[in-house]
Amino acid sequence: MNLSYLTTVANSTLRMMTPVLYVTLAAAVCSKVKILNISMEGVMLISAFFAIVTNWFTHNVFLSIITAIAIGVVVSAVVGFCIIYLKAQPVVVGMACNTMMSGLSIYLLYAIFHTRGVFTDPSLQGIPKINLPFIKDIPVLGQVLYNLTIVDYLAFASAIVLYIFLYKTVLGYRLRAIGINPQAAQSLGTKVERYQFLTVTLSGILSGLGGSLLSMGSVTLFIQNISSGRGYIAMAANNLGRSHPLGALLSSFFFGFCQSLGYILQGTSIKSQITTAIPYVATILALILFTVYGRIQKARRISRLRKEEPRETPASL
Amino acid sequence: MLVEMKHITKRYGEVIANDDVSLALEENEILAIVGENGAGKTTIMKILYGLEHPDAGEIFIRGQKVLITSPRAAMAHHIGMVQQHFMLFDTLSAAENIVYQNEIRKGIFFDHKKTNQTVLELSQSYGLPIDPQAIVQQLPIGSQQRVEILKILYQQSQIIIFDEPSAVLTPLEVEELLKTMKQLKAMGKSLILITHKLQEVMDVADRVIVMRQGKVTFESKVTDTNVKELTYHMVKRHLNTRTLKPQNPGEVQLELKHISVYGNSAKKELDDISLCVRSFEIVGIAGVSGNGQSLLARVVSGLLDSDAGELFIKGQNLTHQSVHSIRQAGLSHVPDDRYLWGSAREATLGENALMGFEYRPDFTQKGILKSQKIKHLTNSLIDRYQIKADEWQQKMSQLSGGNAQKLVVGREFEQNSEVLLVNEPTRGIDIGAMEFIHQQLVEKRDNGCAILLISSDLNEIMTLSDRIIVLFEGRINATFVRGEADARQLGLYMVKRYEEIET
Amino acid sequence: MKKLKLEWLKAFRAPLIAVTIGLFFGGVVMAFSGTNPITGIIALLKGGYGSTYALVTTLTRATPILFAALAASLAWGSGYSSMGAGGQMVLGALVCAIIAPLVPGPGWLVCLVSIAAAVLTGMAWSLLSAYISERFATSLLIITLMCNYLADGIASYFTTYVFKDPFGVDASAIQTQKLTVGVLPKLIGTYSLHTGFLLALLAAVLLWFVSRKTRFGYQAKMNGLNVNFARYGGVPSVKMMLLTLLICGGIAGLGGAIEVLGTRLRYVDGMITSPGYAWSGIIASLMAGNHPIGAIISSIFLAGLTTGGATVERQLGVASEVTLIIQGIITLLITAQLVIKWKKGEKS
Repeated sequence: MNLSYLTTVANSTLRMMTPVLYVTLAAAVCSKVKILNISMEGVMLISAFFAIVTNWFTHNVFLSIITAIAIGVVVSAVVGFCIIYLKAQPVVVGMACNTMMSGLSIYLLYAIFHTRGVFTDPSLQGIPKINLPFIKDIPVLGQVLYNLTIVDYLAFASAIVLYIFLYKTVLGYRLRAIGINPQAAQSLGTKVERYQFLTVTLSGILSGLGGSLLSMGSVTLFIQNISSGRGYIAMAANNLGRSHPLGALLSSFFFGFCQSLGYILQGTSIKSQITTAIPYVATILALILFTVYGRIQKARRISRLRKEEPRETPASL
Repeated sequence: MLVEMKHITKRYGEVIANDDVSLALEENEILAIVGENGAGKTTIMKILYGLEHPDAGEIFIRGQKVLITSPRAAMAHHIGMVQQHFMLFDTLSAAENIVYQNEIRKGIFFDHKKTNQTVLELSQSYGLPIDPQAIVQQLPIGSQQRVEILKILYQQSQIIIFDEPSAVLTPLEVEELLKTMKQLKAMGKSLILITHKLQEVMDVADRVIVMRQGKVTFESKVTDTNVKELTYHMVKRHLNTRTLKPQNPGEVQLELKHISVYGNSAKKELDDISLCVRSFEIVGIAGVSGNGQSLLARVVSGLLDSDAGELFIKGQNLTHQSVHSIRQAGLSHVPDDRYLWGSAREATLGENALMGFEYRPDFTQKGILKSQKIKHLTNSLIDRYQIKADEWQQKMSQLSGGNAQKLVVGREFEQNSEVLLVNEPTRGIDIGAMEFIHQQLVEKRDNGCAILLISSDLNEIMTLSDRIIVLFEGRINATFVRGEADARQLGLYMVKRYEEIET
Repeated sequence: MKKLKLEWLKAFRAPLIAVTIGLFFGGVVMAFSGTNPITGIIALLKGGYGSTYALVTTLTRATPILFAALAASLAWGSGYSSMGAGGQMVLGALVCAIIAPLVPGPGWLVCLVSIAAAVLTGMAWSLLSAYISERFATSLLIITLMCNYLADGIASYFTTYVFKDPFGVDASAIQTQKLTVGVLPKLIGTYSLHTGFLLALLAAVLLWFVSRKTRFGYQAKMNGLNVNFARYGGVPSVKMMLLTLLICGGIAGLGGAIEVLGTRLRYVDGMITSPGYAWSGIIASLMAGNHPIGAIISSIFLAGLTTGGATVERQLGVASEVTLIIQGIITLLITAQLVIKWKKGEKS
């Protein structure tokens, strides 16, 4: 257990957490306007796929990312439309979307690239890795930030920007108000459904960016179901982060850490089936601990209250 | 003429809520619209405020025909509305609530400092004191209403609609409110007051319109009419005041000993409640909503575990027991919200009627339901409680509010339990159904039932109770025997700690 | 009586229209990759339901889907959004495949014991997620999803390292030993359809009876429609949740066992998850409005789509996953009640 080992873990944690962070932020903004969105898994998957498709045809990373975002927005818009305007059950819409996107990506993988399972090609361009000029030479920090892409940095920036947006700007304040009491906002003349729809739709940008990181970040390829449950992990992360952008930052860091731990342990004698299960077990444990912690807090508050002197009731019956 | 609404008609499916209604509001006057629940008075105001759209009719403001398609459009015409259910964002501050939609900006950012300053000035200029930074859900109801009024004033409304503003207030807060209304008029605003409390009308209004079954049935200057006449036009019959047959209370059936519930906030939400109810009596729990009544009901019915204290029914200790065992021990419960607790709207009448009976051998055998018996039960409820329904397998959601309430009440009364917990039995239903339920309650009492009646309607408490307990901030603040206290005195105990009153 | 019949027809109308639109979109997708959509759709339907062989294959495939659908219909109909059928089926199948070779005695005994073990496993796994969700007030949806991944890992671990078939010809195949006794008999000659399908039908009818005619079913239904009402009426909410999800777990575990004893005769890594039986089951249940009898029809329909998809892939060179797209669209249409709204517009 030496320093370079730790920096490797930190570096891989950062790279593992960013896709999850994007979708967690997407889940967070949706729940801020009181929409339960579980379609991030499918949105992320199809964005990752179309990023590779554009990449293959244009060899242009920028265009690929734009495509991923555009696809994310379009699919999220459909999801939002069904939930908000057609009053469909959000969980079912999410499931339908995820099924459909899984099918669509595999179908098109076969139709376009005539392959099943994995598609990769040396001509595909990954998102360029940046090693910041001065920082890369600083001993520890340089290694921790080694080979991160601009989209990774953008993920951290998004969390902070979203925080400022939601809590400091007028528009963000209105969105939060809608989430707190949609009926009140409606009666005060806010077009609640429009705001909700736009929020869900624009959350597609985040999921799309997350998708582009999956297929063009650390590796440049597309694998069937490459999102492998990150969209669902994001629901848990959003739960833990209390739908707060900075909370999302912390909880996705936690998941990134669990995942990178899993990958690092794969090199050891521990079996891969166990290491891949780490994030899921950790999610369950984290959710449990989170509740237990809340309960302890409440119990403390109550025991403080109970120390007060008992008081006589008037005119007892 | 400031506002004129002409020939407004509005239908909800089969029901006509407004049938060719015309009314006018003059500059700088207080117009009262009175009527029973369901008379259409809220609907007509929702149309004026753009929340509902009329099927026919026109609206004129200062002689100009206008189309009010949304609350925003109404606000543009300087119309504001204080709704019965407050439209507040609970976890935001008072100032943030007040400036909603007209925020004070610094570029794209929300300027909190200036907002608080502006709101403070606004509240001072209208004499409606408020702390701009207070979180709304921690304010008392009266202050929350003040936030609502300030919000409308901030929007520079000239026409202000109050929908049943006193329904949730204590008598003292009502006095404050009426004072505020007069002051607003003095400052040049025009007000519309929807209410069914006629004394308020006599106190503040200049003119009054009576609505009944969607139509305007009477219109007069307030100085030219009186409460009796208005009542007659509201219900087209004279109300009888109820007298209770004196009864000798029997044994203690329901007893609470030192019940306390700790909430999530820093205060106890139920604080050391001890009380008992005997057979042949109705004990009324009075109080402004939100002073622990619903918690009390949940503790007694077993839906909530108390943190301290004991619960006895017919001498049996049922502290921390399940709802089922409390029901088995002999308690029936009419809940305060018929749709939240009292029924499943998407289930059939039969399924709704069965709840609570499903363990009785009459209705199940070895866990298998006897549908003929359920049908019979439902039909007899429909008959006995005068429920307007087509058949026993129709959906609950197809019944009107009053009929749904009668089904819930009937189901609980037919359990023939010796202890009845009745929480807000007549909220939001018409006078006919209300009288019917009152009559049934008294009958139950005269047959030896022990009844704990919780209601925020002081009239209901005073006409039905043998004894009255006033809850305030989760504590028993006072107890009275029937006839011992009048509404004013009860009202006082509803808003102030007894220590403060008695010293 | 006449009125009742019309209601029945109405119940079918919306799904039928949704299916039609779904197939239409499937055709559009196929057209994009240069396949004649009409040929494609016909090939799909013919491949799924158009011959004895196709139909038998479809019914075999429908069996595990129907079990998952029944588990989902009970859970979702009672108000619990459980996604856990997948994990429960996986572990049920695994345990069944492990236990069966260890049981001495005649075939029926082997069958009975291994099924019982699978049911218990499914129950235990379901109870675990139900307990965590209830005790720690966490979302059942999230917990069951996580438990599915976990179950998959566990099953994969045990088949790879502990119970791997020692006599396998292909050493890379991750699977348990093949069963010889206790196998479910086939229904028609050498076709793949086995008695497990009848068991699934029986389970559906039984579940329908329980949910419509018993006290438990009544309480579960009220719990699903309005949980506050159920609690208020004295339905014990914790017990209800644990019991309901326990039964769901049992049904799913049974489904896993039947798939092992009827079709695969061993546990093969990914045999439940790769075909997505549990997901299809949940979708089938939602399509049928969580009605157990309706779930029979929707399960067979979805299974047929998959069978047909394989034919389409073989004949026309279109990836069979086109059927997933069709499934998704149909689900979306049904939940969005597009059809109903369209019908309302027609009336007024």
